[in-house]
Amino acid sequence: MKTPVMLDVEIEARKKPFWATLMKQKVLLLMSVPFVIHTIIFKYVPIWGWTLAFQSYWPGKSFFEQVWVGFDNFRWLFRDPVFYQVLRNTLAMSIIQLVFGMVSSIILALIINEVRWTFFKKSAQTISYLPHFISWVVAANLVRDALSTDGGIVNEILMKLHIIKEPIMFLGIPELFWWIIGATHVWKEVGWGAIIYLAAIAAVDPNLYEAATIDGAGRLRRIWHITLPSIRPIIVILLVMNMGYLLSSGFEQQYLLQNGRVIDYARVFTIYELDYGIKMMRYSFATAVGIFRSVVSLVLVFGTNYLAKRMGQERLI
Amino acid sequence: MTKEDIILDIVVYISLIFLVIVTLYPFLNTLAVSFNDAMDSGKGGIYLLPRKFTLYNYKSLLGRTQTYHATLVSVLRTVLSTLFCTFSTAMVAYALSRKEFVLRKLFSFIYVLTMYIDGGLIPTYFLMRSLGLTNNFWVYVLPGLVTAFNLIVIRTYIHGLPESLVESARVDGAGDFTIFTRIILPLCKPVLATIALFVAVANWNAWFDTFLYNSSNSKLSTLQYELMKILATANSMTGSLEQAMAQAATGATNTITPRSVRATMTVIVTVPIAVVYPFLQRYFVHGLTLGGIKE
Amino acid sequence: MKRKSLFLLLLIVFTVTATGALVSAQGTKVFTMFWGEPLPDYPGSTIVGDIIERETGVKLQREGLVGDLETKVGLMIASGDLPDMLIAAHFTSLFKDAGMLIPLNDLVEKHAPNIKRLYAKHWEQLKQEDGNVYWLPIQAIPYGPDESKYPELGFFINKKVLKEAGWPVIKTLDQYFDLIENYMKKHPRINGEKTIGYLTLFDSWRNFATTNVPQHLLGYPNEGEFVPVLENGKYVVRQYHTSHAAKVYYQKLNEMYNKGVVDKETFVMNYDQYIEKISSGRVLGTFNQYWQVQEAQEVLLRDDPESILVPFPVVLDELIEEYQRDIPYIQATQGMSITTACKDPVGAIKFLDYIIREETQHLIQWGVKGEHYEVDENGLFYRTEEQKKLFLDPDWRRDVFGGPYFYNSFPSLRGIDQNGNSFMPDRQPNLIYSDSQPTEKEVMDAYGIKAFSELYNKPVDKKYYPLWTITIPAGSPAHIEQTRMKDILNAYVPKMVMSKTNNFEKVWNEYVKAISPLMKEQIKVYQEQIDWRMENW
Repeated sequence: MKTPVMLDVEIEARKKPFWATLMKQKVLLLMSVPFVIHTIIFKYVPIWGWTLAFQSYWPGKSFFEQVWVGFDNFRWLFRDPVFYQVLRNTLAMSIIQLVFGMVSSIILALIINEVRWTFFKKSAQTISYLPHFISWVVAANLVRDALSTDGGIVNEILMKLHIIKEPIMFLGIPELFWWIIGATHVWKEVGWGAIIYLAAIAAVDPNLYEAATIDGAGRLRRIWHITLPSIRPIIVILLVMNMGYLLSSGFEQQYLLQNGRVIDYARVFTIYELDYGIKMMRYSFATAVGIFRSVVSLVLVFGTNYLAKRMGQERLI
Repeated sequence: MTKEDIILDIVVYISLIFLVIVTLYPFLNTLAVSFNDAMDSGKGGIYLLPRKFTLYNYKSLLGRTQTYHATLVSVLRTVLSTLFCTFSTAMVAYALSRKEFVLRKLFSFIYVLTMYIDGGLIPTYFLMRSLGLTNNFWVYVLPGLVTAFNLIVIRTYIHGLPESLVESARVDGAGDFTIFTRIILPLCKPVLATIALFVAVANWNAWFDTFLYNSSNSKLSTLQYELMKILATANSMTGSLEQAMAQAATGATNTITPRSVRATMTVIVTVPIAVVYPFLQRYFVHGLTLGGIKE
Repeated sequence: MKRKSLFLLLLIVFTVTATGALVSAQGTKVFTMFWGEPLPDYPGSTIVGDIIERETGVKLQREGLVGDLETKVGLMIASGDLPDMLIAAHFTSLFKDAGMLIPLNDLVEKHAPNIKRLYAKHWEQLKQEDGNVYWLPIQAIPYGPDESKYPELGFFINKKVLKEAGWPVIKTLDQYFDLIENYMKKHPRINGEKTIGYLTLFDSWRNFATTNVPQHLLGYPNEGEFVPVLENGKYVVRQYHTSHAAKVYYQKLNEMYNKGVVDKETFVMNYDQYIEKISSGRVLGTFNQYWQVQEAQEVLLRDDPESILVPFPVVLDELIEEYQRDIPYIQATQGMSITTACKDPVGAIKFLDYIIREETQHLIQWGVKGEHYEVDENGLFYRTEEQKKLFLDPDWRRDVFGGPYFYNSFPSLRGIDQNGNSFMPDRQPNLIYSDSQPTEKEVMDAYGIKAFSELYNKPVDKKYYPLWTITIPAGSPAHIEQTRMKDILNAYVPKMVMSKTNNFEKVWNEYVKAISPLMKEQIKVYQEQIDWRMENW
């Protein structure tokens, strides 16, 4: 009874000329068009600022007095050896954070969902997201204290367990830096990240679990066959969206945990943009870097979106 | 209880207890530092309890006349943004989730793009000024009315709802707006609670828009901005040589230090969120029984 | 119900936004001001502030910096949204370049006799290329310089080390580290924790505490990244980062690092950890500028007075004469300026003229005579025990007294006035020793001095001083080169110090090769400006 109705709507939408259909969707138009206009004003109008990338912009002058330099700023960017180091570091740390961040949050959401003692469930969930509210300035000091060679708790424990003989200077080992960034990111954001998956899990129809239990499925199998598939769309969508942030991530965390010893592994795009752009009032250069990042982001997002589409998953557009 | 159940329970509880310890510690430590004498904190070695108890840090942060007005502004912007933003985002998300909507793809594309492009600070400032939004309270609410990220999250959620609910309502003669308010909104509670939380926290923590647009009007100052100001005057880590030298010259004996200000700020900002949180939490931790709302 | 609360909310919003427009209307002049540094909010009414407001009829609407200065300045210049008066640290000149500041020459000539008189000595330094003066540096030294208890910088050493060694006078780098090493051997632990022989600060922009040292070892005061050297009667800008002194210094640190004297994590710790370690009293030595260790020194004075830090002017070898103290200077490249947006420039300059005169300066710094300070028979200012106690409370000083709100961020006077009083109470010459704490006095007595700065030679005058107040144009090739050079220092100094001793030579050579090409543009800019200063100041 219900299925034919749905088909009707779709067939109708396809058969009728575009404008006629549009007129029929007045309400949907009213619900969305004002906000789309709003977005065009607030997000698209300022895009004229991209012209800065092709100027040698100086804030005191008017638009017509600026010196136009063509692609010089991009050329400078691509010729800067530091740029490639920065690109490598940003990608490496972003991927580590994306993978471990998502996986840990999903696992945490699943674990919390398995707790049956409501009080513990709620308080564990509340506590786990608290570090999200501690700014990196504060958190970085805690991380530094914990990893210190001068009585830091991590070294103390490792020494008590006789795993190491001498304290290790964790933050002074360049090869370790990316992983420390990854691990501390997980520690700080795992609980916050889990909220969105918990919301998705909350929507799962309890009847499905009941049916599975009757069929004799254990808890693990229910997680695998019911919970996970039902949050798959949100996982896929978040993955696609986050692909676009691979070049934008980080700043404070890296900035506050870095030191001269590991600088070659710590500098990310946002720090580079600040040091060689804004801090020098090179707005044009900063804009060029921003455009580069946007282009890469869009390629990544629409690339993964296409893959998701091919694999029949939820997608952005 | 099967063997699998028991093992699973053990794993679940042990890992959660571990997580609770490592995530609770930083907050307890921050709390201890915020109640400890600032100069004494400089010596380090404070873990779970203050060593030299004092309320002075709170007094010096909250005892300013500015703070109260700024708190009011912060609460207002948070409440208004959360209400408007959650509702309008959900509305657009509903429209864009309708498979028959002919402009669905175009509009989705327009929104998705905004996540990855940015005109830059100066053009955005010019826009706000020409819209009359500088030195204006509404700059806190209007620009962020619908954000693409939240929109997509809600749309994804709506996609996961049984389509049959909408269809049967339509058969009953309900229009799109009615379907949205009567059927979709109630079903979306978990995701709306999540988005409301995201929006509220982002607004509550925001200070950069005050810095950009409203910094010369103290009546429009927000709590976070005031706290940032105090932190900056207590000499910030990302500050510059000139700043630090100037402060050293005036400061003589400073009884608040950046460390204690940061700790106290963290507590002041986090506590209201922790208080409001349980009201939202019940929507996504308990879960909804779809069946209950169906009829 | 819901509608009502929403309505109520909207009502509050409108009252909040509406009151914003109604700022004091009657009689008083209102000036808006911006500072390129963080400032606490003015509480509305203070002892000093109320007197100033009454006498001038001027109310100030202040804005200090909260985010980063570059963004703020860029926005202000791009948008032209300006306050009446502003000072934006080293970016002040950008406002002049954008034609947003008004020349002060005529205004000062006609309306500001005090500014004219008190800045007379500096006036030539303030003239820009077009012959106009656009800003007043926040400090003028109209009469003579004064003394401070602590010198600007030094190799600091723990009092315990000095006492045990019988109060030696430390001159060279070798003597300094020998003392530390010997003490460390005898006392491997202090207060139950491991002794830290030497600490060097390397946290982001604060790393100059490590990289500036070679110039001081050669006897120079803090010039910045380069040093003008007198050669055949002309100051020639030279680099010191690859000098012999730099090599000896880094090699010494390397040796001490491998011996365990230099703290293992010294290049990894941040400023908070640095202060934490020194405050614990188990650090024997560190080089720094005094204001960077002041916080720790204050904790030590209160909690562990036997471990306070004592500064020494350490040089490379006995042959070098040290002149490490600052020559009194003003920051000629930045200052308080009046913008083109100011509708009443005459009123503004009159206000600044009122602020800078001696009477107002005494009010701001010392307070009201008879209430906050007394005058003895020689005309010298002093404070009674009770008055001193008042001023020891920083909250009272700032929010009740209010002087700090008008000092440092406004044009103000420094040094000694015509009667021999210091403009700053902390530097009153006859009180430095007597106001010191017993533990400080013990050290001063042992060395026969009345202030730690007496351990240093008196500075010799250099007209251009100092080099670091020269602003490298934002975004210029020299500016990019400077950032790159700092990147190299940041990456190589830890590598050099932490390498195995037999590897040092190799890393040093790599470092020299990497940093040497990154100085040419900067030297060019500095040389030009030094020449200009020598000619025009």
